[in-house]
Formats: sequence, C-alpha cells, structure tokens
Amino acid sequence: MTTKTEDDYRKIVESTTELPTLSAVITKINEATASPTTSAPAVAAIIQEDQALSANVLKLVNSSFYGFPKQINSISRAIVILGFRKVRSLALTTSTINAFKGREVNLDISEFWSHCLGTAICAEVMAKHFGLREVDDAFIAGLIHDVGKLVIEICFKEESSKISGIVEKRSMVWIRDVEEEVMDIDHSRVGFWLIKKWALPENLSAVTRFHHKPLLARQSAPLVHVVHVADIIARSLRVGNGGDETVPEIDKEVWDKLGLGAKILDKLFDETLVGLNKAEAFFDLIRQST
Amino acid sequence: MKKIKVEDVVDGMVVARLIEDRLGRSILKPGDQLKLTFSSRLAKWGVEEIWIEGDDVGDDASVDSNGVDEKNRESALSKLNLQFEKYDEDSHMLLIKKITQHYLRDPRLRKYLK
Repeated sequence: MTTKTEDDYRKIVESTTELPTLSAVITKINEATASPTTSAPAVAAIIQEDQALSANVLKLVNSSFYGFPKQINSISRAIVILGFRKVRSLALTTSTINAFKGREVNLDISEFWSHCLGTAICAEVMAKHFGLREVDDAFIAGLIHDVGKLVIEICFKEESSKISGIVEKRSMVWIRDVEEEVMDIDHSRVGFWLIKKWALPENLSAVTRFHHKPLLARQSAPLVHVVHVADIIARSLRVGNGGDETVPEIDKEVWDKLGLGAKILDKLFDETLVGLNKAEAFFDLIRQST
Repeated sequence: MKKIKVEDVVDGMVVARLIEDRLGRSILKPGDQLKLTFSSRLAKWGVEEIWIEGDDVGDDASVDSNGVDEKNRESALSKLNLQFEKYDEDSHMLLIKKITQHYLRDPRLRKYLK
C-alpha cells in the first residue's frame, strides 16, 4: 500500500527532528570507551556530567539485580567493579527508556519496554552461558532490539495506525509481516537507521538490523544470534508485549550453532526467570518513564 | 495438601506424601523439595500424580498469594496453543512450547501474566 520507497523512509528518519535524542553524555561515553587508553576516572567524570543519568545508573548498580553486598556510591567505583562496557550499557538503558518518555504511541509503551527488558535479561543470561566476547553488551542489545517499532510510530503515523489496526483485527498476526505489508520494510531496518543516527556502536546496529534475519549478520553474529533467541523466549514467556502475541520461528541454523536442546533451553528459561524476579529496579525505571 | 500431575511440578514445591515408583520403591519422602527437572524423571519412573504441600485449589480459590488470578495462567496456557499452532511439525518450536508450558506454571512468572 505504501507510496514511499525505502529510501524515502530512510531520509525521513535521518532528517526528522521528531525523534528523541540521547543525552550528549552518551556520545562522549561511546567515544571514551572505544579508546584503549581511557581511564576509569575519565569515563566516570563524563557520566557525572549528567547527574540524573549518574543517579539512575547507581540505582540500577545497587539493585538486587546485581546483589552486591555493599553499597556502590560512585560511578568510578561502579566502573572498577562492573567494567566500562557494563556501566555504559546501564547508562544507555536509562537514556533510551527515558528518551521516549511522554511520546504518544499506539503501542502500550510499558508492555513494550517490559518485552524489551525480558529480552535483555535473557540475552545476558545466554551471553554468559555461551561465553560471548560481547557479554557486557548483551543486555543493552536486547533492550534496544525493537526500537524501530517506536520510530515507526513517531515518524510514520499514518502507516503506524494502519499497522496497529490490522494487528488488532487479525488473529495471531506477526507485526513484522504487517509492517512489510504496509511499508515494504520492517522495524528492524527502521531501528537500524535510528541506531546509526544516534551514533551507537556497530554491534548494536547489527542486532537491531538482523535480529529477525540472524544469518545475514556479518558483524557481531553471536550477539545477533543470542538476541534472536532471547526475543523468542521473552515472547513465549509473555513478558510484556512486543506489539503482537505471536512467537516468531527460531532460525534452525542459529539453533545448531548455539547447540540448543532441552537441557540448555530449560536452564536459559530458568535463569531468565531468576533475572526477571530481581529486576524490580528496571521495571521501576519503565514505570517512571511511561 | 493437594494432588497435582507430575507435569505441573515446579521448583520449590514440597512433597506431602511418600512418592514411590511403579515397583514400590521410595523415590521422595514428605518434606523433600521438588525441582522442575524432576517432572520428566518422575514420569519415567511411572509416577503420574503426586501429593504436595499447599492449599487445595477449589473453584473459589482462583487468586493466588501474589493476587494473580489463576485464570490468567490458564488463559496464557491456552493462548500458547494458538501461538504455536502453526509449528505443529516443527520439532524445535515444539520443544520451546513444551518448556514454556512448564514455566507458565512457575510461580515466579505469575506476576507477569496478565
């Protein structure tokens, strides 16, 4: 039905001022953490430029999700204990969720972020289980994977209301198929443009772009594979709602590559539930920003 | 005390009556804690139903201790059949469905079921 081409959609996403921006501190953190010579105090100083961000990060660090026996009172201490990448991941988590605060969208935003949080927790569980090199980025990769759905809602309102109308009308229809039907592109491509616009690391743009076509990922493939499966597990467990009630089909090659089977899946489901039950601080963050 | 099917076993349940295999050998005694993984082992030993500690669930006991309606869980379980309907011949997806069925009964998930 679309009269726009993929290029039209891309240009709109790239040029619009409607989309939220991330705290300037995030860009500085990304630059700093990309450099091998950056010190912990230097990154801490950058994060502390944004006091609200620092406070949110410390709230998460001190939550039962991490279960540290002693209170961590400073960002520099958090970096020493958790590492640069983990703290960056938490800063990105709070910035991303807060960035969409107050936006009018058809999706139930609280349910949407809950689905993303479920995917993030499961992705982190899987990354640890499979010993991924990018283990510290698994959480934010899971959290951000569906962000394209919000971009469609904000930038393409006419298409978005058609999509939500069709999803509501048809039983068990996958939102991605409806996006393709209405726009000839889906949220993974649109999300990829936002991640590029936000200048986030390339592993996150790869996850956003390929989480439904994991074998096409040329970069950070293991991370993409993990988020592909984590999305399916979060949807199966009905944690939140990613825009529809379906469970997408798992890619069989990814299944083989990860060596999935009953025993491993049982462990992943169990550990995801353990994580979810310790994630109250993250759910609070979602509640406060919706 | 209540009777449940072994497929409904979840982590943390406590055995209320001695569990024996089909040859009458004791497997678990009252007070032992169950794990989800016991479910398939018990079935293998020929056990179909067991008695566990806890209040009997009657028609009027539809809200659990977390304030979540048992109907939500039942609705999630029946929706699961719809969600996986198209994967009837897909062994990978059917395995995911089977494991999900177990965890939808897990008390830890109840607060997320709406």
